[in-house]
Amino acid sequence: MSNLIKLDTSVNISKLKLKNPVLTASGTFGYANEYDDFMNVGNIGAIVTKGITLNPRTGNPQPRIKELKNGLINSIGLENIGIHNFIEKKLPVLRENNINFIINIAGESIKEYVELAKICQSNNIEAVELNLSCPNVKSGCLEFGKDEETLYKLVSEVRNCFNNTLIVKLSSNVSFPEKIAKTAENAGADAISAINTVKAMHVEVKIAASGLSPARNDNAIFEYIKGGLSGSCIKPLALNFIYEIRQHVSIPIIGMGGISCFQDMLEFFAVGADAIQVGTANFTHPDLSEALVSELNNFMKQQNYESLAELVKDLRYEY
Amino acid sequence: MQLKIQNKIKGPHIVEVLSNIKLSDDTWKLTFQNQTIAKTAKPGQFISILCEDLLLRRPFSVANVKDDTFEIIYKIKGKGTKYLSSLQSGDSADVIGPLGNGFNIENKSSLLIGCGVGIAPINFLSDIFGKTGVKHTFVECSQIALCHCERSREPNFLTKCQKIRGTIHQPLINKWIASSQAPRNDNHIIITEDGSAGLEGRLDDHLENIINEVKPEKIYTCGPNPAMKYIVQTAEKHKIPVEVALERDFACGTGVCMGCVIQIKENDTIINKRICKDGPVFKGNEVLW
Repeated sequence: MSNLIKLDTSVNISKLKLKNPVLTASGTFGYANEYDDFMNVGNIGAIVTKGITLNPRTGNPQPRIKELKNGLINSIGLENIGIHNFIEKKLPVLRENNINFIINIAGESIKEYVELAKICQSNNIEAVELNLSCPNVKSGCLEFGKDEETLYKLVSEVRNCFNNTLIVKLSSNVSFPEKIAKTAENAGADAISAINTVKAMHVEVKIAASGLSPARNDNAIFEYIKGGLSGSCIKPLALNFIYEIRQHVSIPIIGMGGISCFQDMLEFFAVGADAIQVGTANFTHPDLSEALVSELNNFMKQQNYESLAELVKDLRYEY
Repeated sequence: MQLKIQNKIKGPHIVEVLSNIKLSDDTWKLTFQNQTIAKTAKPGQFISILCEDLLLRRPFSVANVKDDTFEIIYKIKGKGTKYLSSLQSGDSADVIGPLGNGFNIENKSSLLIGCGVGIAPINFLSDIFGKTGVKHTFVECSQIALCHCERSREPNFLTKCQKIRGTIHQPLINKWIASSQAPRNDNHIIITEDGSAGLEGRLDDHLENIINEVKPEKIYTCGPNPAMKYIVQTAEKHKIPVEVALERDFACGTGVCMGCVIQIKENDTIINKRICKDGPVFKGNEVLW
């Protein structure tokens, strides 16, 4: 009999109803159905679009990526098509294909965030994720996510012009995660997503056979990239960040940071996440998010869970 | 209206290794069995392989297809290619692709230039041109002879090449074609830095001569950026269009991460294009090198 019961993997992030808790992180999954080449994008909870700004951006110069042992540094610099191109070209594809989505928006000023939010509202976008933590742009973003006063002003002004689900994406590059998270909640955020990539630097010192000095003027001797670190090496930071903020906010938390297998996903639920996002691992396993959904279903069947809520409850670490 | 694209056509495919052959000290040819890739790959497209203990996949141009199999040519440079060299017949690998856009194939007398492991997509293109009867000359440039082509495996081939070392001699080239068993209508010129096969020297020692001799209407190339830049500049003097296949480290290889963009001059404006998705083939004169 139990096999006939439909498993309820759904989760609500405020007004946004997701059929399952598996999302894909901004910047790792394109704008719409790009990954249809590898999976059925419609099968996952939602995709979060590439970070979108008011005007198109060309991003940073090369080098933009550096692969490390268990992580990846990127310095893309928010290259994107801009909100108007998105609405015109990508939104119809998302809607035609019944893909659940969240738009990630980034601004250089509060005014820009407000303008982006208004455009989302007028196009009936169900959910917006505020990118307040991109480490790769000179102005805006990360700075907004650090200072409580500015964060409050920004989130509450966006809240005033956007009625649907408002998610605030936070960085772990802050001194007091719980204060920042609480500020976002007080300002009207419906949910928090965390963590964004972590500020990092990679340096490569090349030592010539003749030593350092003869090549002192050769730029190649010292290569570096500064950017945002992602991948499994940031998972412990993400788990800790979510664990700390869970105790201070009551709104849903969407956890991310180095998730690359089913076990990782359960760990995020254990520390307080209500849903998760797969990021860098999409590059390596482009069908991972869909596989996590089916693993979740199988696991729930095997363990006789009828709903995700029950499973999450059993996983939660008691504070 | 956007056409509904069939899902999951690009993998991940679990493919079987048929053979892994050493072509030179550090360059290998790997042959895989997979019908989908073999039937759909075009010259210039690439596949991306999951490598043990590495976060990111590694991209490789498809070097040829035959029936249900496809080949790649790789040079051992780091952990990924070292892992590939450990694969043996019967092993399997996790592959996505074919990815990117291939060369634009036109029925024009063509000069194909592959430098180093950049020979891979050019070898595939040469084969397609051979099968479809497009007139072409294949120039293979490397430090030492890779000898990966069927024809260059013929016992007398290298001796024949060596005879014309140092100069392009059209009657001799015609003789090889006449004597060749292979049902191909191309010329095949080998240039090796050490002169171990074919013409001795580097591409820039011979390119002008080859262009004057072959008089191509179009050039296709893949190799290191400086070589391709030189080819594009030389071809411009002769007003010959060039298609180049570029490479760069990819994170996703599928067009979503924007990590591999290059600047392209299109209609007098400079725009970013993704090598993995918009390329890897570009018009040579549009690339800002």
